[in-house]
Amino acid sequence: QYADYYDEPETSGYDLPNFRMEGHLDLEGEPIDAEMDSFVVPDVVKTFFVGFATAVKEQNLQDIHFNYENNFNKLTERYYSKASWPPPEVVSPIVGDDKMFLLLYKELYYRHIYSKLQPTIDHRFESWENYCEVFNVFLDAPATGPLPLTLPNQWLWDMVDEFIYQFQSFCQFRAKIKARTEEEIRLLQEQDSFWNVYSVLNYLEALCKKANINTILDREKNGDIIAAKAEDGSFEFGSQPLFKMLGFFSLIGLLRMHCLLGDYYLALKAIEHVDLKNKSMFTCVTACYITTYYYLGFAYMMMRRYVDAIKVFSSVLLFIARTKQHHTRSYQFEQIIKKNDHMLTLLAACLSLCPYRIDEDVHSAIREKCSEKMTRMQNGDEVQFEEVFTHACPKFVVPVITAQEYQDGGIYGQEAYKLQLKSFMHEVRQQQLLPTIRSYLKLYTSIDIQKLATFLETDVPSLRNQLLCLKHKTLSLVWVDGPPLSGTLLPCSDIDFYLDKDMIHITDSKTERRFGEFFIRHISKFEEIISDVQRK
Amino acid sequence: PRPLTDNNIAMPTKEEVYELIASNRYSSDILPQLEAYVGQQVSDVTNDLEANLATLKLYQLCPDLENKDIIAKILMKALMNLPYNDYMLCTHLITERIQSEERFASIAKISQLLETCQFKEFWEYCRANEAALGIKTLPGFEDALRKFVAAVINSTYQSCPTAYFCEAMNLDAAGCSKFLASNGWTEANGHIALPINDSNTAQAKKISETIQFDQMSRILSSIAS
Repeated sequence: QYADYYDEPETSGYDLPNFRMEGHLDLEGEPIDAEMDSFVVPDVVKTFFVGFATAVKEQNLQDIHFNYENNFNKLTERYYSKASWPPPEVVSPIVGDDKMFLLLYKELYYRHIYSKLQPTIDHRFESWENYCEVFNVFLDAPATGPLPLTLPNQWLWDMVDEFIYQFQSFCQFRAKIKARTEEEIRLLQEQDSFWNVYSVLNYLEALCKKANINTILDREKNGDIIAAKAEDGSFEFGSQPLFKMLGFFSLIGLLRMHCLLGDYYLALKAIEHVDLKNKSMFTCVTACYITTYYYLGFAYMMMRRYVDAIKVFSSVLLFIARTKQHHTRSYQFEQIIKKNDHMLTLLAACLSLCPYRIDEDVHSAIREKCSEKMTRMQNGDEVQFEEVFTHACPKFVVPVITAQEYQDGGIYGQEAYKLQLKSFMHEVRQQQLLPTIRSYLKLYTSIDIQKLATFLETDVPSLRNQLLCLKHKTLSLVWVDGPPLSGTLLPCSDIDFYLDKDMIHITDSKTERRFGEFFIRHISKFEEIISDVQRK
Repeated sequence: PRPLTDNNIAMPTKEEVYELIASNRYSSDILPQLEAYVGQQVSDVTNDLEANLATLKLYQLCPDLENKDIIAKILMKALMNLPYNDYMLCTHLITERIQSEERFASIAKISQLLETCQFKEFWEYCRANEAALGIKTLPGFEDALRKFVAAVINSTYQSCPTAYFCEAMNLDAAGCSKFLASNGWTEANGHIALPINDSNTAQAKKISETIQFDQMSRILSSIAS
């Protein structure tokens, strides 16, 4: 029912040092002999390493990007789809022991293990140490001037993204105490600094602070240019693209982390300086844009700000629909489609709880892909709501395992998810009777409360409560301007009613037919077609 | 001189609390001040969601330091801030292990009654479980909830039966007259006339279309040529 995003094996490979030989196949697909002390590196891969390391040393951004995005993935497909990449000790002599390159290579090396193989507890600890080393290079950069390093934005984003993903994976691994060996349990309790939730949060905060990202974002909103020298004469790291983007991605990382811990308020607060209307910072890395809006929408939904969630999800779904064709060949395409699917179903859930008019294109996407689900939710089908939530929610984490829990030896991985699900379902249940009342009210301009009670097969006192409930539940915080967390309490119902003594008076809000948007879109489309034809 | 708290530290001001949160959010060292601040909110009849969430977060990350009395206070204060859904935000940070305890299940019950607007049942439950909920130790609790109930009724009714109103507000006849007088509401023929606002008038909202300038600018060039 709750499918793990990362399937942990029931047995760990702990008994082996370093990398897990069983998972390794050599180039003929034969399992590697554990006694082999030389790892065969094909020549083309050697050339790749040398070229890549040189590009990094020479700060050749384009070459680094090409190596990272294309060559690495092509070689993975060709040689390493079922085996790990050559271990760092083997690569080191090939690149002349280039320490910086090796740190960066190790990030890719472990990322690959997580995605294609099963990381052991040692892999997890080693990867953690590597991330610490990489981040410390950034954080310890002296204040005298820029760091002599450049990395493509895609890599910086992937680094932060993977860092958090590995944290989630570790929490899941640790929470399944029943499946852990005694040795693993001992290590987990002893080495509690590895993948410690505080450390993860602190690294993200530190990267934000190093780049002074919040101040930079504020200044950019005012149209200021960021000078390389800060007020006290030291180097303004936020003026170096590497740090600025790393700081920005860490900010989004905090948005994500706080959502994973159920702290939606703090999640929205983390991005309070981000100007959501200015898309330029996001769209340089599509995955960043989509991730931001997914967590933003999800946080709004969990805070019962359905109108805001609906607007956020609609906006990003439109964006994906419009830019999809540019990404079909990118390695992130699958992820984008998956998130698109999640957000569509969450949007359907929000609309079932809070009817609201949305863009026609998005509406037809919902009709196409999840009309059945939506109908069921509109009829108050609890199971359907649960299913949608389970399928589309983030992979929440249990941040800490208590000593008692280690002793009891159970499985705690789902506790965080269950807590959030419970809260969501509370809301669903509290609103269960409202859609029926709404639909009856829509049929009348005025109706006696006793008559309505009879139709609904209930008594007048209960109906009075439910009418109050309808008013209460449709009063929400709606974002108007300023930081995402801000909002004004507004009535958000699609029907207006009031009671005068025992008579209910109803008005349906009328919406004008929207011609303008329709015509503008078609004019633009025509223009594209004409210019295409003219080019040919 | 500032009053001392239970653990003999000086009661922090709101500014100090926010400074601590800004600089040391994830350090359990600041818990004594945050906990003292909760006590302050109880006696001052104020509410500070952000600070309380920070306290709950520290308990989440350091289960050894969790203080169930403080958690209960935070939740009750949250309910006093209805119609805002502070309570819901707080429960996202409290593990099921704690929430399943009787004391917290009681608080959850009154939240449920309030959210579904079963006000008569809410007051009955409070009366029956007064000690367990610690209502007498929460100054302003009844007033805050009455304010919420009155607001919901005001947004739904233009005129409502007096008897119904008194039941929902947990007021006897004398209390009711006092409440009406202090709010400038009038009563006639067993019905209370409620002030008109945006919610309790069913105004036909005409949602007309607005076209943003940047949408137009896309096509202006082609229209002009």
